[in-house]
Amino acid sequence: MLCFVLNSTPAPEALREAVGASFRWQGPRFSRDRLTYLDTFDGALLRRGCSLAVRREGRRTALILAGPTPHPLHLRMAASPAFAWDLPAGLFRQTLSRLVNVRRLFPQVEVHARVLGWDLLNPDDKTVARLVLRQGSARLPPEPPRRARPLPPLLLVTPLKGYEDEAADAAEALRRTFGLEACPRGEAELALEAVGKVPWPYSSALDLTLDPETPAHLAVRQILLRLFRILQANEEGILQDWDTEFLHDYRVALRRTRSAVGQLKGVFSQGEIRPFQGELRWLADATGPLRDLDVYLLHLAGYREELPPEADRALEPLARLLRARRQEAYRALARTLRSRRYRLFREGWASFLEKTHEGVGEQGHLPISRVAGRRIRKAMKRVLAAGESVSDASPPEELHRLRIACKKLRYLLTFFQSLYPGPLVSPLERQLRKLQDTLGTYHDLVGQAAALEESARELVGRGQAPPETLLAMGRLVGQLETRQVLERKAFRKRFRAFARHPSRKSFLELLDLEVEGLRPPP
Amino acid sequence: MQTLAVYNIKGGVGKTATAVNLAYLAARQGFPTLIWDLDPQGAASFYFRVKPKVKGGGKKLLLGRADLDSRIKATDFEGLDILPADFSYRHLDLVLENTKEPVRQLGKVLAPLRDTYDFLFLDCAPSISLVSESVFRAADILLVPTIPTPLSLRTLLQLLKSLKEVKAKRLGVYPFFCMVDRRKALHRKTADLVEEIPLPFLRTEIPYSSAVEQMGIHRAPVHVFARTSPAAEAYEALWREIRRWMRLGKGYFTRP
Repeated sequence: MLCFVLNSTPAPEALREAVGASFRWQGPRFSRDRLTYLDTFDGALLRRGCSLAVRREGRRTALILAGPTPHPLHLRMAASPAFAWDLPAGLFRQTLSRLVNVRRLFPQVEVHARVLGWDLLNPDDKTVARLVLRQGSARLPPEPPRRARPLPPLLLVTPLKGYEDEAADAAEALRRTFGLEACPRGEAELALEAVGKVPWPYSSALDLTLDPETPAHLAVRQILLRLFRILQANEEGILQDWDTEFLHDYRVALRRTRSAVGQLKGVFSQGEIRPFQGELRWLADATGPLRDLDVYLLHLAGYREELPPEADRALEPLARLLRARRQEAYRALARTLRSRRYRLFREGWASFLEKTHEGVGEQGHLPISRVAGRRIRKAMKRVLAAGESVSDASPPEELHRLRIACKKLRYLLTFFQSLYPGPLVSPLERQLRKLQDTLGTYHDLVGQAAALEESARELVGRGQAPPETLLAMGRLVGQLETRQVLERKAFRKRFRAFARHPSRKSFLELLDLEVEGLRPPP
Repeated sequence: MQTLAVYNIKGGVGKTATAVNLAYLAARQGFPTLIWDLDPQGAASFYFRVKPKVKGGGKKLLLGRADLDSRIKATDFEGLDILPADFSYRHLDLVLENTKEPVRQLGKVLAPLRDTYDFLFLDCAPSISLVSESVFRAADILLVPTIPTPLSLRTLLQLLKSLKEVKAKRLGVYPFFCMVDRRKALHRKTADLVEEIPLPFLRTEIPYSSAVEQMGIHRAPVHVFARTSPAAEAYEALWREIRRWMRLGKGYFTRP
């Protein structure tokens, strides 16, 4: 679809004249359109140049997903969806799921428009393109109509599949006549701009550019401050229980914070940092149970889809038990996040991070590149040693230790990637991520199988476990065990790919030079 | 993607009208849908005002030497595309004969469409040949419009018999009565026999209707110009019933 932003609304006759006599025109059809654009908290759709619009049509809701496929997808359902899984199974759900995953869809901006539409027909009276003139206004969803801000008139040329040349001819004629430039942004982005909203204000990425010569304590404070902003950004979503990713992002930022504080010990004075380490551990413990249950429930939904309907029904008591436990875990975490202790931690941590002179440790004044290089070298050697010692007979705990070592290394690479040449670090990070995913999946599978066994005992204890439920749970444990075997097989391959990757060796050589103070200039 | 082939050995039983109207209803519900007009006569292409011509002809398409996607055309209806007919489709049997695995060839060609469409309707030409055998292998559901006369029932039994010999794993066969004229005693009698016929017939009947005949004049699915006609309502009921049977896994299956 081609979108032209106009300065003023052209007369329909002028449009017709511009496109010429190659098409028969059908229309204009006049309508009023009221669309709400949806997106996730992290702008998963707009960030990728996609948009999801919802339109009320009487008692039905029409959804239009534009961007991921060459031609927009349409779907009609009873109500606007909150999650991709609310949609009926099919291509629309599959495409949307790939983009938004498990995130909740929030209304971002509402557009009211007067629409004039024409069909352009070929000599067989077949529609080959559609021309739409939209003149509308945008407002934030809860605002009253008087707060609406005008949008520039938009002219859209939509080709029909198989007739792209005809639509391109029409668009070219319009472009020439009116001196237009195609606008890469769609209506959703223009509407957000009109209401003064940033399309995707939040990102969990740690995209920092560090100066290699910065004193280590300042550089690490910069990293920790960014992580602290991510923690803050996710608090509301956890408390409102909007979706499971708020807690996930919160936990990742928390783990990264703990990893930075723990691994870069010499940068801060121990006396100042230790109390915070205690509080960070307390938070990790407080957020753990809810996240475990979230993961468990999300996976259970996936496993249930693979089971025959009767086994799926039999698992309902288990799902009920998990949902009840999740509710308890959620309440406990909400209490924690609203507690005085948490407020004090936040205030104290913020003021520590904003200080520029106090709390500096013995390594704090060294350039960050020296400190980072030493740490990464050590972490990488640890991963290699731990990986080499894993054999087919190793118990799950040994793989778990390797997983933790991988995580530490990965976090360091994420923190300090801007200090090293991208072509060297990026492939390495990719390999490490794959290795870590395999280890993570294996760990989850082991944990879930154990949790299932424990839940089975609990259900039996409560007298809520009919034989069918236990049998279905047994089937699930079987499934999990089969997958464990597959992941263990994949581990060898992934580890070898990481350990033998040419970038890994070159990177280690670079770090060796750096530690000896011989790093070549970038 | 679910593949539904509309097929009968006999011609003039309402295959194309069924494929066109059901594909339209599927797309209207929001399911991306494709209809492949396999009949060289090109009636489905005509209904959608699309030229019955495929660049490079049917041979290239069936041998997988042409990009299928670039041959697909959008109809005037949201979410409904068509792969048009081509006169060269009359030689598809010969093309298939020269392939390594003739009966699997169609399925192979269709595989890339799996991620693009929820439903694929194959509007088949009337005959029993290598092409139809290939259709039986590629399809999930075989919709068999049947006129309620003894001769048509006999053809249906012939079809079921021949399906036993084809290795069409789990192909669901859904016969239903079409072009039913309740003024005719023969139609009435045969259609009422359905309870006693040892075959899982769909309950919905498509009545003989001038609205369906007018599809050729309007060149559009019946719902577009005669939304409240008995035929339009019957096709809606038929689509609902097919969807229900598909969900429940009901019907006559060649390999249960």
